[in-house]
Amino acid sequence: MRKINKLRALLIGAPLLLLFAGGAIAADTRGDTALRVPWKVTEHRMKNGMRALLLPDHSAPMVVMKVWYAVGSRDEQPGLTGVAHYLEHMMFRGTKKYGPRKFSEIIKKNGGSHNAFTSFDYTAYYERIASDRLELIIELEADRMVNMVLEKKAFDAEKNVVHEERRTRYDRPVGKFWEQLRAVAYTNHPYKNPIIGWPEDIEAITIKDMQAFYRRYYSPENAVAVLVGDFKVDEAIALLEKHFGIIPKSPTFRKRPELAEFPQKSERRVYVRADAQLPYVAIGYHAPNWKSEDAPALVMLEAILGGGETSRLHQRLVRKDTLALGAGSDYTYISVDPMIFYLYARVAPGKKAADAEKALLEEVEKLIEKGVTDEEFRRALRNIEANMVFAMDSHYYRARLLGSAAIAGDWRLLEGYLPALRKVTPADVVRVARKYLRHKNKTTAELIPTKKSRRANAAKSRGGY
Amino acid sequence: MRLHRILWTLAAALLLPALAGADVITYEREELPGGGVLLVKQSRQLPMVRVAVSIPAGARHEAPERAGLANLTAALLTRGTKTRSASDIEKLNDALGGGVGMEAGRARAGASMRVLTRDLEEGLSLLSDVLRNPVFPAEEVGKTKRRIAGGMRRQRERPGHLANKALRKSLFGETPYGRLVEGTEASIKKLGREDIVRFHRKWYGMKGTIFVFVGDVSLKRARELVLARFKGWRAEGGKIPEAAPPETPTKMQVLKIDRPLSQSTVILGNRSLKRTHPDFYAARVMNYILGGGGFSSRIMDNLREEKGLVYSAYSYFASGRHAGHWRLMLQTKNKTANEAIKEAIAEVKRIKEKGVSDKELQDARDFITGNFATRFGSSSRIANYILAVEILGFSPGYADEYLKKIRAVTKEQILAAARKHIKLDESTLAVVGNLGEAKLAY
Repeated sequence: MRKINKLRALLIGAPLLLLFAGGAIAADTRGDTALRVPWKVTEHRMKNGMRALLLPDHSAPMVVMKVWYAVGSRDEQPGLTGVAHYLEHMMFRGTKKYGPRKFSEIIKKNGGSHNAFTSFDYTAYYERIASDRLELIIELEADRMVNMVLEKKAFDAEKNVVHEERRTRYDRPVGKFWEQLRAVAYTNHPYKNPIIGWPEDIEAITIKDMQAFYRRYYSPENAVAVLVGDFKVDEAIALLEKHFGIIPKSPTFRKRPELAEFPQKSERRVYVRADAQLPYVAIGYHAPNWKSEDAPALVMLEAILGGGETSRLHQRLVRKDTLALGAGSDYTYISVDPMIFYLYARVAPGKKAADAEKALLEEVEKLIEKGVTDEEFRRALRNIEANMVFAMDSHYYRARLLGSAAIAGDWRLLEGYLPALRKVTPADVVRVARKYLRHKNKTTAELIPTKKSRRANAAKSRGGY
Repeated sequence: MRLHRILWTLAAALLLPALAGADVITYEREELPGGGVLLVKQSRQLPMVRVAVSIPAGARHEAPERAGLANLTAALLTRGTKTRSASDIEKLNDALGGGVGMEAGRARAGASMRVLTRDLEEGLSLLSDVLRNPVFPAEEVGKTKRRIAGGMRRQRERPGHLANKALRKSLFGETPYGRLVEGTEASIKKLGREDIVRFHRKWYGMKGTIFVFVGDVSLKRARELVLARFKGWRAEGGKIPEAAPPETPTKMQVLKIDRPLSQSTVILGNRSLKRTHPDFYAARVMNYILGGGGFSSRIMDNLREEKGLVYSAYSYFASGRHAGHWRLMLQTKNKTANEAIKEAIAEVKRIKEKGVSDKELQDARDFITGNFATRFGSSSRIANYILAVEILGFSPGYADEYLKKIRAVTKEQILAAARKHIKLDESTLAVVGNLGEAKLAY
C-alpha cells in the first residue's frame, strides 16, 4: 500500500535516481560463454505519425503499457514552469467520454494499476493489467490524448494538490539543496527549473495556459506507446491502430528544438541554509549525453569514481576517512540535452563539509594524475554488464528504458550502449575527466544546518477527538 | 505434493474468471536437513538468479537494552570473514553486479543476492562465507556503529520518520515493534564486539532459515549448492526475549512534534490484527475501500479529489506474523491540518457506522483478485511473495486460498472488521509540523 505514496511520481533525473542504470545486451568480458539478451523490439509507425515499440514477454499473463509524450519541464515557457506536471495531474480528471474518476475506476475494476510521471524531457502514462484487457487501456489512453476536459472546480482543487506535492518533495533540506544546485548550475537552459515548477508559477497557471499547452504537445506525432508483456505483436498493433491510429494529425505540431546551455565561464557556488541535521555537499559539472563520443567514457568514469562500494569516492570518503555516510557520483547518459555530472557526499556527524569537498576534488585530481588501473576498469565494466541483465528482469523497467531512449532520440541507443562501453580505454576515462571535471565548469552546493540537532519536542496530551 | 498442486492449479483455471494467481507463482518447496527450507521458482527467461536467505535473527531476538544489535550484526557480516577482508568482499560483490545485501528486520534478518547464472556458484560461496564465518573486526564495528548512528541523524530530517517513530513507540512500547530496528543512538553506543559475536553464534544457523531461489536454476541444482555450502550450519539457539506491549488506552493519544515545516505530517494508528487472523481478508477489502485503493478509496476521493487538501493520503494494515497495526497517513499544509484530520476521521467513522455499498464491495474484490497475477512482473516480486507465504506458515497453494477468501468477503464481514480492527479510542494521533500555524484542535 505504500506505493500510493508514489502516485504520479515525478522522476527527478539526478541524483540518486539513475535514469539509466543498464539496458540491453550482456556479453562476457571474461572470455567464456557470451551472454546475449537482445531487445526483440518491433517498431511501428502509424499514418498519423505516432510511434509504437512492442516487446513481447510471455513469462506472466500481464502487460505493461507506457505512453510517452515528448514534453516535459524543459519545454515550458518562463513564467509557466510546472505546467507539464500539473497537466499530467489533470489527465486523470476526466474526458468528454469518461467523466471524473472514471479512468481510475475502470482500470481498477479490471484489476489493473496505473500511474504517471513527469520529467525534464517527457511525460509518461503507465498501466499494468492482465493481458486479456489490453484493449481497455489502449482505448482509455487514446481517448485522453485529445479529449481531456478542464473543468474549473477540479482545476482549482488539483492546483492545491500540486502545491502539497511540492511541499512534500522540496520543503525538506535535501530537496531544497538539489533544487538550488540545479538553479545555479544552469543559466539559460530550462533544466534549471524544478520539474514540479516554482510555486509562484504554479499558482499563476490558468486553464487557458494549460489548454494551449495540451493542444500543442498532446498529439500522435509527439507520442510513443511502449508495450512490454504477454501479447501477439500483430494483434497489439491492430488494437493500437484501431484506437490511436484514427486520431488526426495535429495542425500545429512542431518538432522540439535542441536547447543548449551557454558555456560556463567561471566557477559557481551556492549555500543552502536549512533546518538540517547534517551538512551535504555536491559538485556538478556540465557534461554531454549519449549524443557525444565522450559519453561512453563518462559512463565508465562515473562507475569508477562513484559507482559501487569499491569506487574511489566511497572508499576514500566513507571507508577510509569516514568523512561521509555516503558518497558517489551520478551521470545521465540518456537525455534530450546535456545534463550534469555530479559528485556528492552526505557528510557524517562531527565532520566538516569543507573536508568532504576537498576529498571529492582530490580524488578527481588523483584519477587525472595517476590514471585508472586495468583491474578497476574491468570490475566496473563487469558490474555494468551484470546490471544490464538485471535491468531486463522487470517489465516496468524495460518499458521505461525503451521510452526514455526513444524520447531522447532513438531507442536503439540501448543496443549500442554496451558495445560502446567496451571500446572505452582507461586512458579515455582520464581524458574525459580532465576535459569535463574542471574548476571553470563546476558548481558547488553546500547544505548548512541552521540549528544544532534539535531534540524532538514531543508534547503529549490526552483527550478525545 | 506435486500432484496436489497441479490439481489446485486446474481447479483454479476452471472455476475462476479471467485470472488465477496459482499458475503464475507455482514453486517447489523442500525441507532441508537441520531445519531449513528451500523454495525454488525456476524460470529460464534470463540468465540470472535471485537468491534470498531469511534467517530468524531479527530485532525480536535481541534484548531491549541491546536495541539495534540484530541490525548491527547484519550490517557487519560483509565487513570481513576468516578468509576474506572487507575489501575482498567489496571487490567480489561489485564484480558480481553489486547485488549482495544484508539487512535485519523486526522478525528476521535477510541476505539477498542477484547474480548472473554463470556467477551463481561464486555468489553463493560469498553469501555462505559472510553468513557463516564473519569475524567482526573491532575497527569495523566502531565505523559501522558510527555510520548507523549518523544515518539515524539524517533520518530525523524526515517528518514521516519522526511521526512513525512516535506512533510505534506509543503503540508497541518496549517490544521490538515499538522501536526502530536500528535501535537508538544511545543503545548502539553501548554495543560491543562481544555482543555481536554472541548474537551471531546464537541465532545464525540452519534452523528456521529459508532459502529462496528464483530464476535460471533448478531445484536439484539449488539443493546441491545449498547443501554444499551450508551443511552443518548450526546456531546455539535460545530464548526469545519477551516484552509486553503497553496497556491498551481508552482514549485517543495525541503526540505533537514541532518543526519549522510548511506541511504537517499526520499518522493515525492502532494496534490491530496479525496477518494470520481469519478476519484479515475482510479487513483487507474494507481498507481498500477506506484508504488503500489509491484514487478509488474514500479518503483519497474526499481529501484529494474533492477538497485538494493532500497529495497523498492512505491507510493500510501492517500485519505481520507476530504483531500488527492499522494506520492512516496524510500530509497537508499546516493551516489545513485540522480540516484534513477531521475529514479522515469522519471517513473512518462512516465506514465503522454504515459499512460499504454492494458496488464498492464488488469493485474492491474485482481489483484485489484481478490485480493479483499482475504483481509478479519481476523476480524480486516473486521472491518476496514466496518468502512471505513461507514465513506466515502458509502452503505453496496459498494463492488460491487467498483469492477464494477475498471473493467470499461479505458486506457484513466488512462492517464487523471495520468495527473490530480500527479503533479510534485505542489509537494514537501523531503530528509533525509547524504547530504554531497548525493550531491543532486535537
